[in-house]
Amino acid sequence: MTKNHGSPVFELDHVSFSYPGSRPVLRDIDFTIRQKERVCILGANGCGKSTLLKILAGILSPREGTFHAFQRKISGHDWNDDRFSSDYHRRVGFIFQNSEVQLFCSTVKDEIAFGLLQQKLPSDTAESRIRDISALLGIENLLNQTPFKLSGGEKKKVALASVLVMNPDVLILDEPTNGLDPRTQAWLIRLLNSLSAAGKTLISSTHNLELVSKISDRGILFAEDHRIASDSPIADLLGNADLLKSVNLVDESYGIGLK
Amino acid sequence: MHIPDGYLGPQTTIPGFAVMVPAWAVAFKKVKAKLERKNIPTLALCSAFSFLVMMFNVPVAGGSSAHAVGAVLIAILLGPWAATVSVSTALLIQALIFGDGGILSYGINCLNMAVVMPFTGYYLYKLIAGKSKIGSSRNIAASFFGSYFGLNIAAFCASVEFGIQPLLFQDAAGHPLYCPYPLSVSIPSMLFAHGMVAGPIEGILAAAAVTYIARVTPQIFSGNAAPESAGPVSFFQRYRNILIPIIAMIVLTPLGLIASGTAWGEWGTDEIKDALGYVPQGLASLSDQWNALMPDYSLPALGDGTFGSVAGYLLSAFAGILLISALIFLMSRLVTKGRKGTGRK
Amino acid sequence: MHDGKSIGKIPDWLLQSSGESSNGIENRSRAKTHFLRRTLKNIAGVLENELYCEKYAAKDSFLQIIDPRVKLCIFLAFLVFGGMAGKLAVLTVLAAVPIVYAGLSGLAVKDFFRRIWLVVPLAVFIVSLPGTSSLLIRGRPLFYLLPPGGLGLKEGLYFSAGGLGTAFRLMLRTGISLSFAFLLFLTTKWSKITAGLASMHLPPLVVSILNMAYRYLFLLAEIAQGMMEARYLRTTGKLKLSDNRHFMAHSAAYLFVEGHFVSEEVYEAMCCRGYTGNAVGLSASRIGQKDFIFLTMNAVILFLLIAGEHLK
Repeated sequence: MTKNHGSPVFELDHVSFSYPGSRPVLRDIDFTIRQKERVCILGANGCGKSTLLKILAGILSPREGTFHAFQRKISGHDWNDDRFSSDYHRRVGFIFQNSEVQLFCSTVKDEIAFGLLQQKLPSDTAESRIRDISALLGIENLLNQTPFKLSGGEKKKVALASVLVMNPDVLILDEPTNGLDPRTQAWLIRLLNSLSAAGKTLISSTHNLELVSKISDRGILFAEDHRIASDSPIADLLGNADLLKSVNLVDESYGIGLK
Repeated sequence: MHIPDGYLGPQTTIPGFAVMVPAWAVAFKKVKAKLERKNIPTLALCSAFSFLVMMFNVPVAGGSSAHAVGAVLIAILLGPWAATVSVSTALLIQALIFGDGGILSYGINCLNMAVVMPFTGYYLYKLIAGKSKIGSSRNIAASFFGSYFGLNIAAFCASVEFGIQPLLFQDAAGHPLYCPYPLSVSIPSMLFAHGMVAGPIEGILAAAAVTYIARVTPQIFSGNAAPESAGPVSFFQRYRNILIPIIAMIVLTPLGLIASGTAWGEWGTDEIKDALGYVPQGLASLSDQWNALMPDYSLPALGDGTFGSVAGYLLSAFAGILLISALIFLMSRLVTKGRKGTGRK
Repeated sequence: MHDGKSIGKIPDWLLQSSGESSNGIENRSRAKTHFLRRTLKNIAGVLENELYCEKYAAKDSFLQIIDPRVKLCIFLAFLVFGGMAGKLAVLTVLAAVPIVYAGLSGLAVKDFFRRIWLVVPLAVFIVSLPGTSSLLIRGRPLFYLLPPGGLGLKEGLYFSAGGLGTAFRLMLRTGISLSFAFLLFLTTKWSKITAGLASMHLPPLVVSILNMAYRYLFLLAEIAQGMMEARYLRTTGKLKLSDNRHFMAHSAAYLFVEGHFVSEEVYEAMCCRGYTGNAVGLSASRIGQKDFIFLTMNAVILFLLIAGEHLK
């Protein structure tokens, strides 16, 4: 909203969501995300961040409201169309908070190949793409390992590789730095920034307020009643300690250190 | 109940696979239809669960403990066909990696623990539970008895498979070639062990697990309840075409074995003799295993206790090991040398 | 804590040091935790086994570089032969084959021998002893355990050569089967074994399930390990048998629920990468010259064994 980057990628209009038999986890969500934007979704635990990301990633469909992606209205039964679904998932990459669930193949190489093979790419094209992406992320030596024995940082890198290898236009990251050591965090920030410079749209969710300003320009803040409390440039959002306190994201001591 | 290799003769293990192949085919088709695209992750995690449950030691009175199988529990949660797939997968991983249960006896082990146990247990559970609510006391009791009897029926099958071995396979001197215990020993001992120790554990585990899951995440059951709610009567109607042949095979297998024991041996060598005009020594020997044609075939190793044949055994074993080790060593040289030549990793 | 206000006063007992009160430790030894220790040992065995195998399968000596399909076929042929062979000498030679292979493939032979022969086959041997004694198998007595007339047995209790032979045969067959299975696993990564099975026309659905089950086995094993350890460390007094049983049952149930949620998320993760219900994998490697050498030489060995079986 701050800068008009390009054509809209996601448009949400009065979207609400609830799991069967429980109270709503998203209420009346309205926003538009444009190409090349760097957006961060913020909020206290349980405010609906992960659910929102799953809607954007095409895993869940909104109960109410309309959801446009790539200027097309998306409805629940679109996902039954294999071609549409496959194409959508190629364009929107999703990095899970828990890398464990994302690494379901028996070797790292199979893991990275999974998305490519689902797209029915020929083996040799797949092989060369796997080589390139593993060189980019520095995981060539892990290719024949089993995901089970990798460290947390290595798991995150493999998860990233398995998504990036499909060359998505939009990258969605759920708590990307959870459980990573400071060095790997710094590496991840550099990687995300170079992807953004290459024209990818980045959408992330995090509790890590130090990280937010490094990977995003715009912040969407959720209140505990599952509505959007604020949608503004990230610097304004982080400077407004009262607002952050009101949604229970930070406590009294926040902001003292900033001054 | 994991039968290791060596106890069962090939004419028990091969029919085991023969029964399991169609059973697996049907099971995969069923679960594929029911779980749709979610089939791979659901069944994989269920198999991993089944594997781990077999590692859970549950304490029994008297200070000992025993492990459970969990096949009926999975059947209650996801349906009997899913249990067939999950338990079979778990058993394959156990056989290949942990040596728990043999490779040749894998088919038989699957028949006992992945087919007989979940199906009998599950339909007994359905029968007792009726339309009772999941987590109600009647439902819990049904889980207990379903598991208890499922395990015991499976154990009974295993004991029959053991017990028919001395009847089927004997050398010329009348010594059993495989399991030495006859039915009169195997059935009471297996049933006692499973009825008194393993059965109650299986039952308690399933009953308590059903209680827990009904309380914490009742929605897990809902996936299963809808398509299966038709009840046991319609089940037999629906799956009659599969069940009748399976039951018939289970009943007839022991009889068929006795009959085919001699038939196969004679047919095999004659057929080859006709075709080749000559019977390869090795093949003739193979058929000897089943019908003991050679009159003087006896245990050469310990013979009749004479020193000479023991020495003969040692000498031939030693010479054999030496010869074959030399061959393997040579092969190892050839293979590893070839590798360096082509420069592969 | 969630409202971010304050933590509240820490109760006094939490601030006190429990010091030398040693009764907790004393009680532990009396507490019935054998089932926990056994379960933990089983689970630790799973994890340890995998590490042990990975260490050897990653080497590139003899058996490790043979195509998994060739290895599978050859080992299966040895297994089937072992299941049918009856001569003790032949079975003994066959039992030596995997040990020689293990030695030449850089495995620790002593360890290999100990892990295989001193566990299941030994148990099989002991269990079959009563059945192979004169109670069930008679013949010319080799040695007596009880003289004739002892304990009311008219003929006494003895072993005949034939009876002992049966017991040895059972033990050898079990050990042979275990040896080849273990040898395959120690020299081949699980993913390659399943790739081999896939190229032998096992349906891709089955292969995917096998792979994924094996992969998440370790995740569930770690969760289970955590539960058991927590329980073990907190068991300081004597607990009722029924409580322990309930704990094990609840752990199993918890594990199922956890596995269920993981499977849901894995499914979502698969969808996110364009999964449309078809299992696919990278193509397997080709069979090379070394595999042909391996295949023919083993065929020769097998033929020699078959010949040995038939020789007088």
